[in-house]
Parts: sequence; structure tokens; C-alpha cells
Amino acid sequence: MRNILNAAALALFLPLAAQAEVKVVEPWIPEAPPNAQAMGAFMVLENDEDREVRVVNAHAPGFDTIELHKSVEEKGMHKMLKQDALVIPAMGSLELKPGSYHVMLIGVQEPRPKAGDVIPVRLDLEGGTSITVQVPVRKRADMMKRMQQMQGH
Amino acid sequence: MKMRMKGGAPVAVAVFLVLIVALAISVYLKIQRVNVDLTQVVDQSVLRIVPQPIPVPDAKLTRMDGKPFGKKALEGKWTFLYFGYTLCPDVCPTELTALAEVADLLRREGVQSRWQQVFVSVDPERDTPEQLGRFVSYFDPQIIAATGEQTELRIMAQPIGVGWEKAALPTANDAPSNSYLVNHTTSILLVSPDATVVGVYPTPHNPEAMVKAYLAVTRE
Repeated sequence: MRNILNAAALALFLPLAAQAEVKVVEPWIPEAPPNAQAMGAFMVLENDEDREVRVVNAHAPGFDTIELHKSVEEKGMHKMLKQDALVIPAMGSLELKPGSYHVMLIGVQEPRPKAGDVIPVRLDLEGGTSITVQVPVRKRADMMKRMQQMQGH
Repeated sequence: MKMRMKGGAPVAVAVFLVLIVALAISVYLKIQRVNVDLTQVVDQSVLRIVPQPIPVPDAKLTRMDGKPFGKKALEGKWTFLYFGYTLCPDVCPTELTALAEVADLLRREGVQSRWQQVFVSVDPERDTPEQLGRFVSYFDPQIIAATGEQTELRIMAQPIGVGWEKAALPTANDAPSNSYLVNHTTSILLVSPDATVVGVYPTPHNPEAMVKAYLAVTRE
């Protein structure tokens, strides 16, 4: 029984392990309100290597254009800036979260993604490799509560 | 009988005096509380108390249901006031999710009647009344949405420190000309029942902390 469990656990982690370089933690896409023109994908990207890893492109089905973005606030005003790459520092991590870095999914196609759907998002890394992350669509409220709890509020 | 009257009268007088004194004390304490410095009782990182409260100017806006919306709509209730637009990819949904959670918490606290939440769209070119209604009701059935012509929006928003500007979607080369972003102020304003901005909730918005600050200010 234990062997089966171990094998199952191994099988779960194998796809990530095989792709080495980047580990993806808690990916999610907030369900969008009706008529939204864009959605965002969030996750924590962890890098165990002793050199930085750069995500230079992203792809996902069901959207017109996909870009790497950073939300910033200047003098209380919110702006979004396009990024050439998302840089995960050596032996470090990069958090993609609301109000910060994110994968911007522009031009939402029909049928519109709903909570419970899973969207495969492919991240292209500098050097030619890529990883595909199965990103669940979740209710924004559920995830925000969870993040606040994790922050100890 | 006479003895009782004699014994009873001073007691009644004493009880009366005690009541008068209690009343005086409670009135005194109430006055004291009104004069309390709000910056001392509210976490300023959650709700920044405005040093000089700013009256919200009147403007001719329209609600999602077609009714007029102006300064009068802010009178008589505390208002959580937020400016944004419905096609806002991330920030507005985040803030409206926070507002909906604030509403839930206040309802759970039994604080029902003295507050409202208002979303003002600064993108009237695309935000039709129907679109506004669909958008806010996705988050909470009670949020009121309104918008109006740009000049009217500026009349209301500028004096209370809210601004916005259109920005191109980063790769909108071949995109239709109506796809654009609007950079805008992300704070939620707390407006008192005399339609005056008394505080500003800066981002990030934590609903529990927001409610705590609201209760400290309104003493509900």
C-alpha cells in the first residue's frame, strides 16, 4: 500500500521534476466578471538552480494575446507595464500575484472560463525549454480570503 | 401610610438625582467621543483620516437603473466610494471583491442600514447602464453603480483626489480602437452621511481591517 502511495506521489511530482528548472506553486486564475476583456494568471515560480531563470513568453488557449505584465501603483494611480521577461532569481522565487507580476490573458474568447475550469498555460523559458502549468480558474473571493489567512491577517 | 411617604420621597429624590447625574455623565462622555481624534483610534495604514474633510461636489451622474445620481445620493448614509471601470482586468475586480466582503462582514455584524457602497465608472464610453449592472451584481447585489459624462465625472472626482487617464493596451496594435486600459486611483473613499470624504482606504484592501476601521469611525 505504502509503495503504491509512494508511486502515486512520485507520479504527481515527476512531471515537474522532469522539467527541472522551475517549480510552480499554487497557480490560479481569478474568474472574471461578465464581459471582462482580460484575465490574469498568478502563481509562485521557484528556482532551485544557481542561475536566474527567465520566462520570456507565455501561451494559453482561449485568449487573443498573452503578455507578461507588472501592475504598479504610482502616486495612488494604478498602471500596468509590459515586461520583456519574468525573472526568477537564482535559488529564489518570483511571486505572480494581484497588484504585481502576472501573466496577462488578453481578449477572452467564448466560452468564457468559469470557476472550476483548468487552463493549460505554457511558459517559455529563455534557452528554448518550456513548462506547461495546469492553472485552475477560481472565485477571486475564495482565493483572496485564503491569501489573507496565509499572510496571518 | 404617612411614614411610608416620608421615607419614600427622599428615596425618589435620590433616584431622580442619580438618574440626572448618570444622564449628564453619558452626555459628557458622548461629547468627548465626538471630539476624539480619529487618527488615534483608527489604524492609519488601513484608513487614512483626511485632515480636512472634503465635501463631495455635486455632479449629474446616472445610476445603472437610470435614476439620477449626485451629491444627494451620498447623504444620510456612510458610503464606501470607489472609482474604476468594468473592463478593468485586475484591480477593480480585486477592490470590488474586497468591498463585497466588507458588505458581508457588516451584514454579519448586524450593521445594516447606515451604509452603502458605490462604484463610479470613469469609462462612460464603454460602460453602459446594463454593463454596469451586470458587473457590480457579479460581486454583490447591493452595490450601486453610476457613471456620467467625463466632465461631470471630473467635477465630482477631482476635488476629492481621484484621477484617471486612458492608456493603450500594451500590444493593441491591431486591436479594435475601443480596447484600452484606464489607469486610475485605487483607493476606496469613506464618505460621511453629510457627503464629505473623511477617510481614504489605500491598497491593499483587507476587508476585516476595513470594517474595524469603519466601526471605529462611525461607532456603530
